Amino acid sequence: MTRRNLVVAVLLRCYPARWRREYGEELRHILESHPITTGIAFDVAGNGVRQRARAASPATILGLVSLVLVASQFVIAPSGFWPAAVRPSGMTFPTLRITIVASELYVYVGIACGYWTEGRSPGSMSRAGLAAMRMALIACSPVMMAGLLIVAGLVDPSIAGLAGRTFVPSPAAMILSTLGALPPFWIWGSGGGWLRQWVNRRRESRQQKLT
Amino acid sequence: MARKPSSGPASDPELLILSSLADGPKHGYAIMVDVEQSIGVTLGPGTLYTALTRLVEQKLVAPDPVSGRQRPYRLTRKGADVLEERLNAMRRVAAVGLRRLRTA
Repeated sequence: MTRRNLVVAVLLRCYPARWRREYGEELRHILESHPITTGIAFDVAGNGVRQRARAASPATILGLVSLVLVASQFVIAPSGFWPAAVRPSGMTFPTLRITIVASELYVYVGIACGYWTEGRSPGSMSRAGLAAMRMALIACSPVMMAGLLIVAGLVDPSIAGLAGRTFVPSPAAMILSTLGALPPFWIWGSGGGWLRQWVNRRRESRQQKLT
Repeated sequence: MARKPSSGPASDPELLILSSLADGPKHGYAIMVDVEQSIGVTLGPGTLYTALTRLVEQKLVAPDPVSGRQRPYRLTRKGADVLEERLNAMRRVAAVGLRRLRTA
């Protein structure tokens, strides 16, 4: 593979797979027939990211935003990360509550995810609930990943703020922590889906009255 | 080639593509060349295909069968109506603005 072909391949990878199947060959032809300047590279890559954002599900978009919020606590409070990010759960099996995801704000984020999912592709309430669960799974992945890294011995808990703390979360609890967050998210997401269905029904009946 | 179009309604990539297709079907590269030569605006390939994707989704433009590695696109009836409506709106705005400039 020549350097040019490699650049074209990388630029095309900026676009979602479905888009590439539809338009990829045409765009490849144009890119292979002309010099690729920095401006063209930015234009193609930037629009590829836009296409990915358009194609992404609400669960992915909200999940990634939430993931950044959860992961940002590593940066904001590196020495006090554990108390800031996680706290003990009242559940009997080893799990934790991830502070941000357990906050009231996330009730609204879960409802918004269900509402948005139902609005984009109407289906069932439970599908909106599943979308909110998927969002929570993405959002909580930094804590799960931290647990896996500790289990694998790649992170030393003593330098991550665990040493000397009264509350020391176990890696197993960190890995399982997301599970505890999923059922409430299913309820909130389903609620959001139900809300959207109600709004749609109201709109339809209003339009029928007008006609 | 990827010069950013100047601002204003005449630089809207969707309007430029619709205008380019008004005289018959063209494939992506031909649209880029036509817009550059006839209107003087350079569309980057990413901008072009993002706008084309939207136009196809809105059924203002329809793809024809692939010829070689390029696929021609044509204006639909709905696309022609939308283009005419938008151009007429621009003409009305231009007429009012120019008339007031002359009388000011």
